[in-house]
Parts: sequence; C-alpha cells; structure tokens
Amino acid sequence: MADSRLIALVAVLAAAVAIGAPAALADGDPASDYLLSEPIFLPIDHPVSPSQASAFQKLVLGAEKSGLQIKVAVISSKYDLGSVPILFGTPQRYADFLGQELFYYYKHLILIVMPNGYGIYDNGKSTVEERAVLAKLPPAKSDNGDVLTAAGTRAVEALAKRYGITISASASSSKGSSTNSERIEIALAALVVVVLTLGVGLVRRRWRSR
Amino acid sequence: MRRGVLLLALVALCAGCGGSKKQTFVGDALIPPPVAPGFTLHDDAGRAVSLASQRGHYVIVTFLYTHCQDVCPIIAGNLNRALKTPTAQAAGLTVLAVSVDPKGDTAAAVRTYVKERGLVPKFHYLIGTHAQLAPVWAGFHIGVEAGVNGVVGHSSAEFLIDPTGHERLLYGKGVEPASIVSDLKTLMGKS
Repeated sequence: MADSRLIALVAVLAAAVAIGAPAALADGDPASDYLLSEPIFLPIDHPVSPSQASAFQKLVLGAEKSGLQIKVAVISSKYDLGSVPILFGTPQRYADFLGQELFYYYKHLILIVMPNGYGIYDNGKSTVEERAVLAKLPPAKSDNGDVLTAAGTRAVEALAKRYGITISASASSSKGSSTNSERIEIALAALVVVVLTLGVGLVRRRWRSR
Repeated sequence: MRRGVLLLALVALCAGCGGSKKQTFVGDALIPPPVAPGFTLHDDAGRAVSLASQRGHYVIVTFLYTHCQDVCPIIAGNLNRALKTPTAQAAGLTVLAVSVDPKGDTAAAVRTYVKERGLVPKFHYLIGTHAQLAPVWAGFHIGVEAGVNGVVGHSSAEFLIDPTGHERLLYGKGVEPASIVSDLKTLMGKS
C-alpha cells in the first residue's frame, strides 16, 4: 500500500511538472504543486472512479468557462496533505495555507473538500458570503473519494448559484480550447505566414522578370 | 514602386514580430513587481537586520528552519553557493533567511546551523518571536503550520528583490545558483 501511495504521489508530481507548472513550487503538500496548473486535486489515498473524476473536472472547467474561476482540492486523509498532516480535519485552515502557497500564481477561488466540511480562499479577499453558502451544505462524512467528489460537486454548484452563474454543460469540455489572447496570437501568426508567402512570391516574380 | 513599398511593409512587419526585447528569466517574474513588505528582525548575535537597510543592492528573502530535514538545507546550500559567485558579489547580493520556526530556531541553533553549513556573512539567518515573524510570513504570503515532532510545514519561496525594494522574481525549492546568476545578469543588463 505504501508503495502504491508513493507511486501515486510521484505520478501526481510528475504530471504537475510535465504540464508546465511554474518554477516556484510549494513545499510538501501535493495539492499545492498540482493546482499550479490543474483545476482539481483528487485524493491519492482513496482514489476517485475515472468517470466521477472526469465529470468533476468537466464541472470545474465548465464553471470556469461560465465565469466562476475556481480550483478544488479534495482531501480524503492526512496522506493527501503531505508535510502538513496537522491540517487534516480543518478545511478552512488548509484553504488559507494553500491559498498563501498559490497566492502569486492563482488569483481566484480555492475550494477545499474534506470529510468534515469545506474551506474556501479567495486570494486574500473576504470569503464571508462563500463560507455562509458552504456552511449550509452537508459534509461528506466519508473518506471515500467518490463521496467526497460528490460533495465537491455540490459545493461548486452552490457557489455558482450564489454568484448567479449557470454552469453550461457545453462549456465543460473547454480545456483544450484557446483563450482570446491565444486566438489573437494564432490569427497574427497566420497573418504573418500569409504576408511572408505573398512577399516571397513577389520577390520570385520580380527576380524572374529580370 | 508599389512593390517596393509592399516589401518595406513586409520587412517592417517581420521586424515588429520578432524585434521586441522581452526580458526572460529563470525565476517567475512578478508583474507588476510589488514593493517588498519591510521588516526588521535579528540574527543569532542579536544584531538588527532590516530589509530597508539593503536598499541599493539585490536581496533574496527566503523562509527556512534549522531542524528542517526536507528542502530547507538544499535551498540554504544553493543560496550560499550563489552568494559566492562573482555576479552575486557584483550585485551586492544578500540573503535574508527568515525563520518559520520561532520555537526551534534559537540563537544557539542558528549559530550551529550557520557554522556547520559554512554560510557566508552575506547570508543572514533571521529569527524572532512568533509575533515578530508572523507578519513577515503574511507579508510574503508564506503558509506556515507547526506540526508534530518539530516539523514545520511551510511554503518554499525565494524572492529576488531589486535595489529599489521591489519583488522581481520568485523561485521555488529547486532554485539553483546558476539560475540566480543568470537572472541577476539579465536584471543588471549584462546578459
């Protein structure tokens, strides 16, 4: 079991590195490394079924596309917290800790889901209203990955409702789509290629006409 | 004539595409660079050291604790090696390591740590009470959680602060002396 945990942890960290996490990584707790570049962190110790993991990722990405910028860490045990196991059972304290770690890289909501409840952080801004929303939700009361992820789903949906946001199902497959700035860059690159092609053709024609 | 104008426009367009000189760094650039929060703490000899007193020079602020068995020794070693480089010396680079363990980082513990690791005089290991240190952690957004058996969970971060007191670059636990040297050269316009 210890070996499989280690392999899972290494895989998580390797994935975070492979997908281009910023150079400055946090210390010890896997979620802080993973969330630098991914929208969700799921339990290592109590894995979530692939279908539920996929659905949850789509929900969070769909929320982002719909205007609710949020990252979610689902924590099932002390093991998921790496070097800060002391924060297990205190989702709000872990939200504050994780929020500090990601402060320079992520400026929006961070939601923590633990068996006994939820925590929320918003880049140092007040989260009184968000906490009130989460306080009304029943805790998962389980360390089962699927049960915790279902609780995370309810929390994301409740927060979206609080902001008057309807999470679009069609927006949920948006991970591979490009942002506006990326589209502008692509358009400019295409323009340069067209102009270069025209220019080369022009030079050739002029060269031949000599 | 029209063809000439078109060619000229083409050259101008290409020059515009690739001509903008953008500084590239190994560390993560903080844009816009925030003003580093000021602080005054003490070293193991009781001498007061402030961030403000480093104005005019480059400074790296980091967060460590002496009993750390994890990344702190690597970070301290790499920053110490960076301080010994000619580039760092030309930049007047100083390292201010702020303790994240007010309980365990006593003056004696820090003295031993500095001696055992051969930290150079430009490496200042700063200590204080929880009340003195906590505002510094908060100012730099460093998460700190004291655990059991003397373990302290904390963010790994090294801030490179420029001579005007602005946080310019952020490094993580894997910071290498060569990265710091490269970035200092870029910042000083010597790359």
